Amino acid sequence: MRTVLSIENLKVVGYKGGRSCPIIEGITFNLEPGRTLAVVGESGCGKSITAAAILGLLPWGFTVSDGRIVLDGQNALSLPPREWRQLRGKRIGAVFQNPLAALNPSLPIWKQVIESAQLEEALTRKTARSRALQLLERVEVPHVASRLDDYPHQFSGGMRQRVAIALALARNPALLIADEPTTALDLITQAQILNMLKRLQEEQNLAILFITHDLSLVAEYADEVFVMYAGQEVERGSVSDLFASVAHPYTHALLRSIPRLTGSRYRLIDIEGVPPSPHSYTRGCRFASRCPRVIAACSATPPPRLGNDSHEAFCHHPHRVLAP
Amino acid sequence: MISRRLAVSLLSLVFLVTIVFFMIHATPGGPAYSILGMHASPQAVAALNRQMGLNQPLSVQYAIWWAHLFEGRLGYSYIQHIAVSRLLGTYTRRTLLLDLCALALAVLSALLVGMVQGYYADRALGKIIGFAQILFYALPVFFIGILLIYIFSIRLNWLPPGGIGHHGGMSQMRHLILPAVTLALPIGAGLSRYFGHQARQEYRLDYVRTARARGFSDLYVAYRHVLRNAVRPFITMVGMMIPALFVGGVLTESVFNYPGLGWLLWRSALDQDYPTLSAITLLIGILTIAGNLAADVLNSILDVRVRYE
Ligand SMILES: Nc1ncnc2c1ncn2[C@@H]1O[C@H](COP(=O)(O)OP(=O)(O)OP(=O)(O)O)[C@@H](O)[C@H]1O
Ligand SMILES: [Mg+2]
Repeated sequence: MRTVLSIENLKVVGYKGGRSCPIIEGITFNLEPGRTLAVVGESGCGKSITAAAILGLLPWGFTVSDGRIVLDGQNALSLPPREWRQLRGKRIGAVFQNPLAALNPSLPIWKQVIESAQLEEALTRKTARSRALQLLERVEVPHVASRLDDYPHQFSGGMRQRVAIALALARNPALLIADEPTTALDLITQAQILNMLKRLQEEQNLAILFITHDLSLVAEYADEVFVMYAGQEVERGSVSDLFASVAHPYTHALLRSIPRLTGSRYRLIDIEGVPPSPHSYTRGCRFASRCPRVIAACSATPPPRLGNDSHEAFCHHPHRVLAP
Repeated sequence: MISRRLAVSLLSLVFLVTIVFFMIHATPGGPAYSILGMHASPQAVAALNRQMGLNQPLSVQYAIWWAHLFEGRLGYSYIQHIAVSRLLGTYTRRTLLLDLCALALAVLSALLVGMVQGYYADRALGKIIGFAQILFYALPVFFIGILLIYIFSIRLNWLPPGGIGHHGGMSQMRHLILPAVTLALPIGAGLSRYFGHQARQEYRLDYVRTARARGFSDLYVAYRHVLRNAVRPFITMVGMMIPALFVGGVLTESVFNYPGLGWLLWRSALDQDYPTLSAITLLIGILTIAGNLAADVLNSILDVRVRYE
């Protein structure tokens, strides 16, 4: 099947504390229409930077230094900035973590929803409003007809995230990047929104890049998992294969620990220590200092790739031997 | 919300009128001396006191003071030999013209520079702008004025160094440019620093990322999203700059010999023309209150949330 998005050996370098250092390295994955790829990992491992690189919206000081981002068969990195910008919204939609701030506080929601359509063609006020209504009905905002003129602050967090999803999907993109879309919401709202996304995905054959901390959501909502640690891939595979035979000690630890929110960041409470900062990224396995299965080779050489395309891991001393 | 602000403005107005009333009565020897001068004969003082009702109790005088204000009677300038109210008309018009030009210049440049600064906040351009703002904010008005006169009038001979020219038309415009720029520079620097900070804060918010992720161009995001949100607190700030405008106006009008209220204030202070001085104080106070009120009203029209509260 044709891929919607394929990331090849992506590397992003950034300035942190006045020095340039690699933020993500060697990131490679494919995403097909109608499928969901979950990217998981602790805070700071580079999930959002990966998403920002795909969108072409890296923070100032960050650049892609290697690799390819192939969207619709063309390398986005070789496109002029203007054309890449035009892919946003049209081919890629994005929703982010904090729905409370994701909408413009001083525009009524119908105007925000219809904004991209209005930039493309002149619409009468009546058509614009009825189209906005349709877009908002699609994301199941209740009593939409009477709420078109409401401002974002008049909606709950869950409703605002639905509106944000309507904005992202307004032009029927092929790919949705959802960067922790439900982390800030309560469990019931979270389930409702994820189920709605699943329904939209089936209706429109949408590919979803689902970034999350929470492995418990992955089994239910994703087809593939991509586990990151300190800017690199540690394990990747289809949900069924990977959960059936977890190979990497980090994935193993992730599965056993429930992420706890300490301050604004999630921490893995069952593993000692904290992930290294980009300044101290090494050539060897970056998880070595926290790994319960660490052996001499770990910190000396980069971990080898084990397994095959449907389940791979990068590890010197895995829990399971993966068939090549 | 608006009614509360209106009430506050009215209260400040009453306060202002009262203060100016007591200011006049606190002058050495009382108002008659301040009007007639320190060397007036006792007969003249007594005659004036009788004529102006100054021999009556303070509370009655206070009431008379209000009554006179409502009739527009602000006293008589014994220096210029004309009723102060008649004197003020022309000068006020000139000052309003100059101040409005300067304010428009300052606000427009603050919006433009502030947006650029907010967008480039983390880059060299943002820092250069920040430095220039501090420089222009700190430079004294008379220094800027004299510098501009030196460059554009004396060296280049492009613009007149002072005065007002003929009423209406090109000549008046040409006379306005240098004083308006002089007055606008420090105010624009202060306003743009504030607005640049505001724009920078807005640029960091998630809705900007949302808009960019939808493929909107930087220019569109700037005017349709960021400007709209950053401008609301800015309007209040513009209102608060109005006193600085009048203070700067006194200096600017003196440097450029521009006969407006500020120039008159300066002259009257030199001449100890107290009726004129207190009338100008009152007028500038009223204009300040009105300016702030206008900013608040404009703000609440733009800010829907104010109406919901
Ligand atoms: N705007 C930014 N400016 C500077 N550094 C940044 C910025 N965004 C991310 N970083 C740095 O890049 C690295 C990767 O961050 P990233 O935001 O991708 O992590 P994440 O996996 O999304 O974490 P979280 O789960 O907390 O969202 C971190 O070291 C982070 O400090
Ligand atoms: Mg993140």
